[in-house]
Amino acid sequence: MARILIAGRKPAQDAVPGGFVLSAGICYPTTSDMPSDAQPPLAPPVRSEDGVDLTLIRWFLSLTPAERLESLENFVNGVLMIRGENAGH
Amino acid sequence: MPAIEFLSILRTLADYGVDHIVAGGVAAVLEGAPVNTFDLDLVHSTSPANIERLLPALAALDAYYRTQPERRLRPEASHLASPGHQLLVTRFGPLDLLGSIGRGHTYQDLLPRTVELAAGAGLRVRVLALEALIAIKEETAGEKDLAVLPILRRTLEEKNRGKIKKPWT
Repeated sequence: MARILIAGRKPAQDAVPGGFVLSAGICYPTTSDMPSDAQPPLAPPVRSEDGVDLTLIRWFLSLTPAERLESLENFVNGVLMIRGENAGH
Repeated sequence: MPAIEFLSILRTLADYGVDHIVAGGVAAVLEGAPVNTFDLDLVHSTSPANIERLLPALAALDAYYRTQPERRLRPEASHLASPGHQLLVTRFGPLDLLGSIGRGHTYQDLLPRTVELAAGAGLRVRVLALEALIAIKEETAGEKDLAVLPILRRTLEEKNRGKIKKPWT
């Protein structure tokens, strides 16, 4: 049974048999541990059914409100600077 | 167009004790929706006392109507007491002061549907909650609103899933 461990961490004997342990203590099975019909863990969807990029939303939600506002100001001022440099075009 | 500093506008209004609610795109951003906007929409209290505080704050911001910038017309108390929209430009960027939004929602109506958030540099601001923002955009349903609504709805879903810890709220 294959077991991959992150350096410096003890094997998680009481977790999923085989697999590897991440800092959060989650044990992921390696492919050699999986039954032939098993699927790898599903990643969260990257787009909603109506086409919204959920990765951007998750990233933005991970910021504080102050960081979000700063990001908006930086974006807007960047666009204004580019507009100014291209005035007359 | 001056460099846009939404935080500086909010700071000035706070310094003068102006009662207001952040709405529109900046509210969406503060609530975590990855959208962009070039103006700051605020629903202000139209009470006489608040307008007395708002007028000197607008003078400090050098606010005037951006519809006719060459005339540099400044908002007066009677304008600010109306339910209409005052489209201004300040030394920190465009500012829309809204006496009401959607189907006539005023500052007092909206107050229970707000959250208080830290906007940076120690400033706390009252922001229209994402649920209310969506409901009001659905009411008005202009083309611009329709374009942004899917992003707001999906942001609310992601927030409600509770996967993202929010120690700052």
